[in-house]
Amino acid sequence: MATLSLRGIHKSYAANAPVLEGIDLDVAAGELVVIVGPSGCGKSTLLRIVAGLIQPSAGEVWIDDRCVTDRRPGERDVAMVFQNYALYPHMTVARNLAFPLRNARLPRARIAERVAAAARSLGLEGLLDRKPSQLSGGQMQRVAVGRAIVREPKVFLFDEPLSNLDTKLRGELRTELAELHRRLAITTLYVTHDQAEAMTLGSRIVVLHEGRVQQIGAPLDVFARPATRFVAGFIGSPPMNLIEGVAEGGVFHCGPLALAGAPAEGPLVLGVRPEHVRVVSRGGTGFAVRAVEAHGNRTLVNAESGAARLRLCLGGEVRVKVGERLAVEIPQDRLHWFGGGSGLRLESG
Amino acid sequence: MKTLARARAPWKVIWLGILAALASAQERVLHVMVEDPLLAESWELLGTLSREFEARHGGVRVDLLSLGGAAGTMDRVKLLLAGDVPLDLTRIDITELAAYREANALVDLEPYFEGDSDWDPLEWFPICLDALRDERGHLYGLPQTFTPYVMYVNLTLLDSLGIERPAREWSWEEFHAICRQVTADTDGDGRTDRFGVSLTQWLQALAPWIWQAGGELLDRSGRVSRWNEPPVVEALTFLHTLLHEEGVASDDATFENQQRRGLFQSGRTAFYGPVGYWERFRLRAVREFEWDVLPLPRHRRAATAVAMSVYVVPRTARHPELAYAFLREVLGGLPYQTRMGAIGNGLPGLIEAAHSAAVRNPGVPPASFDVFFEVLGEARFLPTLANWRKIESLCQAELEGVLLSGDVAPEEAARRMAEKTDAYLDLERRREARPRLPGGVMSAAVALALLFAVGLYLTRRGPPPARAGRAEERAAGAFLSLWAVGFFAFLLGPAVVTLVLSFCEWSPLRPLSDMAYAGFDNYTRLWGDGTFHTSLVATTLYALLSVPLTLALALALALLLRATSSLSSAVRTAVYLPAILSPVIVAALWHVLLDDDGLINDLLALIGAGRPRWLEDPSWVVPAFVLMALWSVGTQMLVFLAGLSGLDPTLEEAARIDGAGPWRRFVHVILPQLTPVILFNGITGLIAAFQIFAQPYVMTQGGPGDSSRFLVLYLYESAFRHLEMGYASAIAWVLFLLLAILSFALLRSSRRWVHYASRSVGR
Repeated sequence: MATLSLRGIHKSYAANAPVLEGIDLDVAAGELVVIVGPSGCGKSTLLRIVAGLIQPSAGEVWIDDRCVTDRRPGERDVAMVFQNYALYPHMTVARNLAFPLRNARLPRARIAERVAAAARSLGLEGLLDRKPSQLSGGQMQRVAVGRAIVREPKVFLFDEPLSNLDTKLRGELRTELAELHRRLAITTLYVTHDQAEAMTLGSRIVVLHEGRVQQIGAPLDVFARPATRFVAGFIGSPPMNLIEGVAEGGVFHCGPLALAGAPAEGPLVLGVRPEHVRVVSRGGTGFAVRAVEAHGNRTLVNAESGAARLRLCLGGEVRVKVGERLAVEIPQDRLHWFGGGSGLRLESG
Repeated sequence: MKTLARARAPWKVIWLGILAALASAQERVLHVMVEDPLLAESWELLGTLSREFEARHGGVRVDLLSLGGAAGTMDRVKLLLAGDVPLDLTRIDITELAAYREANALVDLEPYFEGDSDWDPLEWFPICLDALRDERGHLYGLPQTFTPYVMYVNLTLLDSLGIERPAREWSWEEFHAICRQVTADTDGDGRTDRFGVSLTQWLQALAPWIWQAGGELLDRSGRVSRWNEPPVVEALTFLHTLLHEEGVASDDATFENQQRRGLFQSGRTAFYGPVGYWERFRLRAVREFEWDVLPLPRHRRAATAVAMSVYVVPRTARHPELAYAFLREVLGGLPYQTRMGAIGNGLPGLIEAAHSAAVRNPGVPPASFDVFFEVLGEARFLPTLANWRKIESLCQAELEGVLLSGDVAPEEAARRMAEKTDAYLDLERRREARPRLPGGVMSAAVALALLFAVGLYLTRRGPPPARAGRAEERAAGAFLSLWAVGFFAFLLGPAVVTLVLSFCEWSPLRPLSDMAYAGFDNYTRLWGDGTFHTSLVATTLYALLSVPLTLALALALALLLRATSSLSSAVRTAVYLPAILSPVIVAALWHVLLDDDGLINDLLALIGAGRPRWLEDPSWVVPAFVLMALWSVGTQMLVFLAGLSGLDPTLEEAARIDGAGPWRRFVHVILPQLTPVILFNGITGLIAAFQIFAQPYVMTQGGPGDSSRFLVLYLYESAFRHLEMGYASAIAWVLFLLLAILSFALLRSSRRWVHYASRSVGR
C-alpha cells in the first residue's frame, strides 16, 4: 500500500487562465479519495497529472517517498480506468488484460496466472476470447478494471468510470467497486461529477471548483458543514436552498422573510436543505406553491414568497397543489450561513 | 434624335452579329497540322503564307495547328483521326504512311496531281516521291523535309590528336581504329570521358550497319524476317564490340536523349551518328570546335537510311481540294521548303529549295554539305509495312539489350528479333483471313448492358413506396439521373465496347463498323506475348516495391507531421505539393534529377554509393520510378493524417500508463487502429501503381528494352501507336480482372488484419 501526495499542483495552458491552482492533497495508504466537481473544474486534468499524461506547470506528485513528477506514466506504478474504458479494440479480453504485463516483460506463465486471477475476481472467465465490441457496457467496464488490477499497482486512478452506464448498472457497479476497494485496499483517486458516487465510495471527498479545492473532508462532514456556498449548492440532491439577503441587527431579511440569528451584518446568503424545511400549516399566508414534482418516495415543491424562493422536500405521501399557500418553519440548527461576497461559511453565534 | 440613334445601336450590333455569323457559316476553315511552333522562324512564315493563301482563295480561313515536339508526337495525329477530328492536312512520319494507307485513312491525291497542269514531279527528289507512292504509283502527299543518315565528325578533336581526317569512302576498320585512338580517360578518374563515337541507337540509325554488312531486315515479300542471318549478327557484334567490349563508343545518343546536350556537342567524341541533317540545327550553336559530315563508313557495301516527314490529306478532311491547293502552294512551295531547309531541321524535298543558297548557307558548317546528296544513291527507307512501328518496337527492346545494356549476346538478340517479328507477321497474315463482325453487334451489346442495368435496378429497388414517398423517389431519381447518364455514357458504355472489342480486331483509324471478329485470339496472344509478360513483370515489380514503400513513407510522414504547429503545416504543404503537380511536370523534373550527372547521383556519389544509370540501366529503371512514386506520397499522407486524427487518444494514453514504449504503442495500439486506412491506401495505391503511365511515357517510352513498358503504357502503345484496339482492349480487361482479383483478395484478407473501431462508446 502506498501514499499519494500532491504538493502545490498548478497547471495552466495560457497565461492568466489557470486550469488548476495550488492543489495540495494527501491520500493515505489504502484510502479511496473521490474528486468531485462540475464539468470543466479541472478534476480530470488533476487525475492525468497524477497519471503522468500531463505535466504540471508547477508542483510535485509523490507516491510513497518517491517524487514521480518527471517520471513517465509507465514508470509511476499507477493504473487508470478511463471513462470510455479505452480497451484496445483489436485485442481479445485476455490480451487486453495481459497487455500491461507483457509490457513489463513478465514470464508467460506469470501473465497467464495473473490474467486468470483478475478474470476470476471480476467474473470475466467466460469472456476472455471476446473482442471489446462483443461486450456489454458493464462487461467492458469490468475488463477495464481488470486491466488496472492485473498490474497490482500502487495507485488506482478512476476517471468517471461509470458515467457511460445506465442508472441501474451504475448503482450495481458502484457497489462492486466499493467491494473491490475493500478487498484490494489499494490507494485510489476517483474522479466523478456524480455526487452519489462521491458520497458512497470515498472515505474522503475533494470538491473542486474552477481549479481550486473548495473542501476536503469525509462525505457526511462535507454534506453537513459545506465550507463554501459552492459546496453547499453542489453537494446534496436536491441542492440546498441558497437565499440572498441582508442582515441588519442580527436579523436576516429577504423579501417578506425575516430570520433572527444572522452571524454577521450586511449581505449574506442563507442556506437551507430542502428536506430541513418543515410545513407548519397549509392555507392562509406564507409561501405560494409554484411547482410540484411527485417522485413517489418524496415530493419536491417549489414555492416563493416575494423575492424569497424555496424548495421543499416533503414526504412521498404529502399532496400539495400549485397555488396553495404553505407556512414553513426552519430549525435554527439547520441553517447555514455564507458570506455574501466571499461565499465562505460563517458560523452562527 | 440622338436618343433614337442610341436606342437603335443595340439592334445594329445584333444585325451585324447575325451577318457575321452567316458569313462565318459560309467560311471554309482549313485545319492544317504542322510542325512545332517552337520553330518560330517557320511558324511565322507559315502564318504569312497562309494569309496570302486566304487572300487568293476567298472565304477560306487557314487554321494552323501544332503537332508539338515532345514524346508521342507520332501518336497525336492518330488520336485526332480516331476521334474524327476533321483535319484537312497533316504532317506524319514516312514510317507511318503504310499504316494510314492500309487503314484507308488517307486521300489518294493522284487525281489532284493529274489534274494539276503546274505539277512537275521532276522538281522533287525522286527518292522522296517514290516513298510516297503506293503499288499503283499513286502519290499520297508531298515531303516536308527528309534526310539521309550520315556521320558527324569533330575535326578539331581529330586534328588535335594528330589523327588523319577520314576520306569520304572509309571503312568500318578505319572507323574502328580512329575510335580506339580517340578513346581516353583524360582526367585520370578511372572513367572514360572521351569516346570515339556517340553511337545512335534507334532502328532507323542501326539499319545502315546491317545493310552495309550485306544484311536485310525483311525478305522482299515483307512476310519473313531476316534478322537471324549472319550479316545482322555481324553488324550487331561490331556495334556491341564498340560499345561494351572495347568501350570506344558512348551510348548517350539514344532517341530520347536527342533534345539534350550530348557528348559530341560537348566536344568529347570524335564521331556522332548515324544521324540526320537535323543535327545541323542543334550544332549551329557550337563554336568550340570545327565539325563536318561524312558518309557512313562502309563494309561489304555502302548504305544509309532516310528519314522523312510528309504532308498528307486524311480521309476525314472536309475540304480535300483546298488541302491539296494548300499543299502545293504553301507547304510544297519554294519559300516554305527553303525556310525549312535553312532552319536545319531537314532537307527540303523540293530540289531547287535544297540547293538554294539559303539552305546551303556557305560559310556555315558542314563544309561537305554535298555529302547529304551524294549518299542518296545508297539511301533506303525502312520497310513500308502497315505495322512496321510494331515490329520496330518489338525489335527495339532486343536491340537495347545488346547495345544499351550490353547484357544480351548479339546472336541471341538476332534470334529473338527474328522470332518476334515472324510471329507478328504470321499474326498479320491470319488477320487478313478473319471474318467481319456483323454490323449491329456492338450496338446490341451496349443495349443489352443497358437493359441489364435497368433490369437490375427494377428487381433490386424493393417494394414501391407509399404515395407520400413517391415524390421523394422522383426527386431522388432526378438527382441520380445526372450521375446515371455519366455512368452509362462514360463508364458502362465504353466498358462494354472494349469488352466486345477485345474479341475483335479493329484499327481506330477505321470506322467502328469495319471490325474483324477474332474470337479469343487476343487473349491467347497475350499468353504468348513476351512483351506483355515483361510488361506484367515490370508492373508487378513496380507495384510490389512502390505500394508498401509509399505506404510506409506516407505513414511515417503522417506520424511525424500530425502535431499541429506552423512548421508541421508548412512541411505538410511541401510534402503534398507534388501530388497536385501534373505527372508530366513531375516526370520532366525527375528526368533532370535522375540524369547520370543529376542531383541524385551527385548525392549518391557524395556518400560513395556510385552513380546508377537510372533511366538507361534496365535493372535501375523500375527503382527510379519507385523513387518518383515515393516523392508523391502527399495524398496518402493526408489520408493517414485524417486517420490519425480520428484515433481515440485515450487508447494511446492507456498504453502509456500500461507501460508501453513508443514502438509498442505504435505496433500494438496505433497501427491496428489504422488498418482500415492502410487497407484503403493499399488498394487505391495498388490500382494507381498498376495504372502508371504518364511518367514512363514521358521519361523512357518503355525503355531501356521493355524494362519500363508498364501495362498501361503497353496498352496505350497497342491502341494508338500500333493501332491494335482489340488487343489493347484485351490488355485492359486482363488488367481490370487482375486488379479486381487483387483488390478482392486484399479485402478478403482484411477480415484477418483490419480492425474496425468497436461500437462507439461516447465520451
